[in-house]
Amino acid sequence: MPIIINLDVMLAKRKMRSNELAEKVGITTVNLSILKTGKAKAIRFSTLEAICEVLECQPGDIMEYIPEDVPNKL
Amino acid sequence: MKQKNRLASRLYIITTAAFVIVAIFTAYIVVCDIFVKPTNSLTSFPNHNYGYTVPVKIQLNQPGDSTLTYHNSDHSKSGQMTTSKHFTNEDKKMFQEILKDAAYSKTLIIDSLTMRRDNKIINKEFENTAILKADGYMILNPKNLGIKFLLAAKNYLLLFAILFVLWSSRKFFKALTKDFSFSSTVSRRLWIIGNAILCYQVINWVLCLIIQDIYDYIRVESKPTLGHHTEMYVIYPDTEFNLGLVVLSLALIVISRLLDYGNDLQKENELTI
Repeated sequence: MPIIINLDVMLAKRKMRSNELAEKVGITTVNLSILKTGKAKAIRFSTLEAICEVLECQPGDIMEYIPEDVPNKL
Repeated sequence: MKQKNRLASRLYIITTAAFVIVAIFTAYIVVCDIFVKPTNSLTSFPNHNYGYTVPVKIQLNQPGDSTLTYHNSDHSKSGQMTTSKHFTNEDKKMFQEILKDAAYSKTLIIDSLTMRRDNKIINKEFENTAILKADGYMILNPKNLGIKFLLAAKNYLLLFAILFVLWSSRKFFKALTKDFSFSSTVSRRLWIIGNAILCYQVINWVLCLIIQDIYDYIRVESKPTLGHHTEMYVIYPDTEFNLGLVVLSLALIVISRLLDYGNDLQKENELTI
């Protein structure tokens, strides 16, 4: 999928652990893991709002669009 | 959800019991067919020595001035009148003689008759009838092994189809008992059941057409005597094609595709955070 989730980067920037974020957002760690690994098919606006509120960031900070034919930055 | 699960588990128990009963019945028939020696009893199970049951249509051309006596036992459940003709002692004696006679390679049994005249159900007006049509069964015992195999296959096809559908239904309800939700197992089982019913109908229909081609008709004609007209019976194999079952099987296939779509939607929903 061309949508890349940069949740790990934001967590590192905020020096926050996954468990803590999951607890504050109100989702399970399993679901957060699904989101982080890019396996999620969709994300609810309410979840996105809660994540942005906890991490004090914009939706664009945690997800990025990269066309499939463009080689990976790394 | 619990109530639905209970319904599925009850249906699982019912299908399991039905499967066991039909399996025992099938095994009994197979054993009878292989080991039981043929008897001249008209009510015994047909076996490979005795012959195989084939549904037939019987057309009776009766003189206009004749009167038909019959035992009327109406079954009006389906909205159609069914008239059952019971064997008299004279009929039984005649059939026993025919069965014992080595000159006859084929024997016939007429179980129940649905009387029709010009495709209309006859009620009580049996006088002045011209042509009567009836559904019945005939026991065929061909000498040709190929045709014998064909008839045996047709006779066992229904039993094995029922066994397979019951077994698949059992698996279907078992999967629902474990998890009453959309799943690939549930939709695949339903797809298999639908296709099994459809395949049975098509194979049975093809076998009927082949049998019709082999056995065109049997014609029994009486010699006209003074003051009496000719009485004639024409017996020909019937084509078994149940349109209702075909529609049901197609509906099951469509429902299985819908369940597949539901399964995809459920997976997407599960992966929505």
